[in-house]
Amino acid sequence: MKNENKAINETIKRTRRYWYVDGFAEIGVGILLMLIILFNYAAGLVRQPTLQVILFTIGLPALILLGGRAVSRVVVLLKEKYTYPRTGYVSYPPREGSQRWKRALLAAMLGVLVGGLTSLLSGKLPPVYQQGFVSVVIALAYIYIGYSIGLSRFYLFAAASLALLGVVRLIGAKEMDFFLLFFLGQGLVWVLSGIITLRAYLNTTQPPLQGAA
Amino acid sequence: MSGLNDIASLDRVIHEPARLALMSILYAANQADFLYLLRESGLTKGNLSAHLSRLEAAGYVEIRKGYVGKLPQTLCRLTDAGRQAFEDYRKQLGDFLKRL
Repeated sequence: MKNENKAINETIKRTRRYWYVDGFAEIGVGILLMLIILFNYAAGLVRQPTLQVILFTIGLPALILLGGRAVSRVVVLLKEKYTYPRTGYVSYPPREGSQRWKRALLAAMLGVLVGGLTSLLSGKLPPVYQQGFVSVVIALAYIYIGYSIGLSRFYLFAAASLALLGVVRLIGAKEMDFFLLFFLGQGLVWVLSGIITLRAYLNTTQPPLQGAA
Repeated sequence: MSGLNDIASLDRVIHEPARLALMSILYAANQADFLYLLRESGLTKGNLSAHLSRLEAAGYVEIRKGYVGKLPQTLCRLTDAGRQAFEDYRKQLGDFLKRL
């Protein structure tokens, strides 16, 4: 009976992590992450205050929202072309209203917590502590995702997050440059992981010769 | 005796290992096609069809046949009754394990 319970939980987790089987989602998230951080950096360089406010208050949220939707659409199209004919089609239940709000609230609270603590500490502690704090929070988030869906490469993401902290510190980047390089590095880790996963997936699966579905 | 009653009251349609695996997959997914279920369950096509038919007859699974381009596609999803039955089954199983 215990084995059955364990098997049910493992099957549910395996079905959920099927979304990551081909690496397309990771490549998409990585590219979006890099675009967001580059946009953020470029907006910070704008000298005209009004334009800068517009870029930060309208441009950045629009990029996150529309970019997120576009990436999601492209990922689904790629899956329809390459993944579903090889290993089958799975769609996931849309999150219900209350679930969606809970997740949004949790993400917002986490953002406010990280942002608030970073600003609070910024005047009192050397930059290395703020940078370390952000890196550790991100690493913990990766560990949580990895644990919740049983995807071990997210633990590597967590290690990469801490390694990136060390590498960017070694380069000696100043505050803004640190976050630019750190998040570009994060995006690159996602893209590289996605490419490796995609390559392995395509090498180990074959498209069906006839309709098997 | 209560433990035996608990086991006896488990839903027989779901309790069979292959159907339990199929129900678990469909519980996590909104829809899954025959190819995915075939790969994940490790069943033969004939066995998978038989188990899906049994679940469909119990009103737990809805099966739709269609085409993607020129390829046939069989899509399966849990009905509301199937989702509820699976949740009840897991609860019963959980309660039983707690008492062990």
